[in-house]
Amino acid sequence: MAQLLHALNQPVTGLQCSLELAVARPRARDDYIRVLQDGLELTARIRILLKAARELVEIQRQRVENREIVLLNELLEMTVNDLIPVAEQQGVSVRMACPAALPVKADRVAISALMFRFLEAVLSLTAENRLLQILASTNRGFACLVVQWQPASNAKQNPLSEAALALAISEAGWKQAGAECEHSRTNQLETCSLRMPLATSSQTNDWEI
Amino acid sequence: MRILIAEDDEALAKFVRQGLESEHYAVEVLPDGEQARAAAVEGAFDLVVLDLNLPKLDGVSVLRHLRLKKPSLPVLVLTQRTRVEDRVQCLDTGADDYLAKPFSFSELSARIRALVRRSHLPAESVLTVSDLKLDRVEHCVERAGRRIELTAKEFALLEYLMRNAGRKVTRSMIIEHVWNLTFDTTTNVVDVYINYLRRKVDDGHPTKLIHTVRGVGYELSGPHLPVPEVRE
Repeated sequence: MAQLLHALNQPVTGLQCSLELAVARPRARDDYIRVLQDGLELTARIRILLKAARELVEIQRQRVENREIVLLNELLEMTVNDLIPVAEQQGVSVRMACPAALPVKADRVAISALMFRFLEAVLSLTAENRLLQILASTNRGFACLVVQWQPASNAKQNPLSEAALALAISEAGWKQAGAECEHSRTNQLETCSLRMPLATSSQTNDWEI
Repeated sequence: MRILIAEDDEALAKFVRQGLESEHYAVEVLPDGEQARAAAVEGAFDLVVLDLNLPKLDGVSVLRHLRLKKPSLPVLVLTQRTRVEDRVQCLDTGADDYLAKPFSFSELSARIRALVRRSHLPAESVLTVSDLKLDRVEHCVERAGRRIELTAKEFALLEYLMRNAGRKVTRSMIIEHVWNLTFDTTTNVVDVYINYLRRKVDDGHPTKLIHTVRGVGYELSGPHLPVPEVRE
């Protein structure tokens, strides 16, 4: 959050300075148009940062209600299928292994949006013509999801890019949904690991009835 | 076309008013919930743009009241909140659409156009634009009598475009209504699906129906029948 607020300084300052300069003395019509176009771009950047900051605050405030049993593996497959055409266009190969049923307790609407946002952000950050691997499994009462990708070079350089912000927000969302979330980075690979408690058998039976 | 704007932020209301007036809408701005509720019920408005955080009477109360008194009056809610749950709550309370602040004027304008148009259409089971036909009940699509196979997402996207035939729809509108997501996507998922649709719907036909609107989004329209024909 502190990083986000700090990042707001740059476009706000840019906007203020360009407007101050524009009104300081009469200018040619084309100059005004250029200032307005620059202003629009800066405003778009401010909007992205503000939205990200507000989303983070809302996620932190959020209380999870309307929990039901959701099969994380089905949700994962559905989301990946939705994103496959985008991955194909980027030349990213998606390899997914999801051998087990992963029932978790969650708000279905919220977790569906979260899954999409998470995987979409990862896909945006993956370098063209590289591999994106998703491994889902169960381990000692937890649903585990390991997502690994080779980041594009520009993504590595800009932690406040739209995609990097979306990933940070979705990771905060997973934590708020009750998952543990770890993010690691080496020279070549980024990995995000999620662990979410599996629904207990009694909860699952309730759902099956 | 008369639009009521219930918004207590004077600067924002002024910009919205100016923008809508430049698009030839008649606009009235009211700064609190009590005035907005009374005017919306008593006045002849075609659409209400309602801020949720209003003084004197909050927007949700205004909305509930409007749904009782004027169930078919389109209401576009403006809000500070962006979570999916907030959107669901808003729509459940009776809003027809939802736009989170900060927003761009072109986004607001596109949504207003879509809402105004939708409010004048009955609920149809078969949508037809030019020689393209979509049957929601049979879940099938054909163009010039030839069946087109679509995935579930492509079908939903085409249905949304056809419901808004002749109107520009933004990428945000598509992502909200077809994918049910409320955030700005980081990929070109909408463009990719539009391209898939184009290949299936337009390829091989001299008249293209799916058009890119630069700086806005997309529009589906035929040469002679921009408004869907209704068949129950």
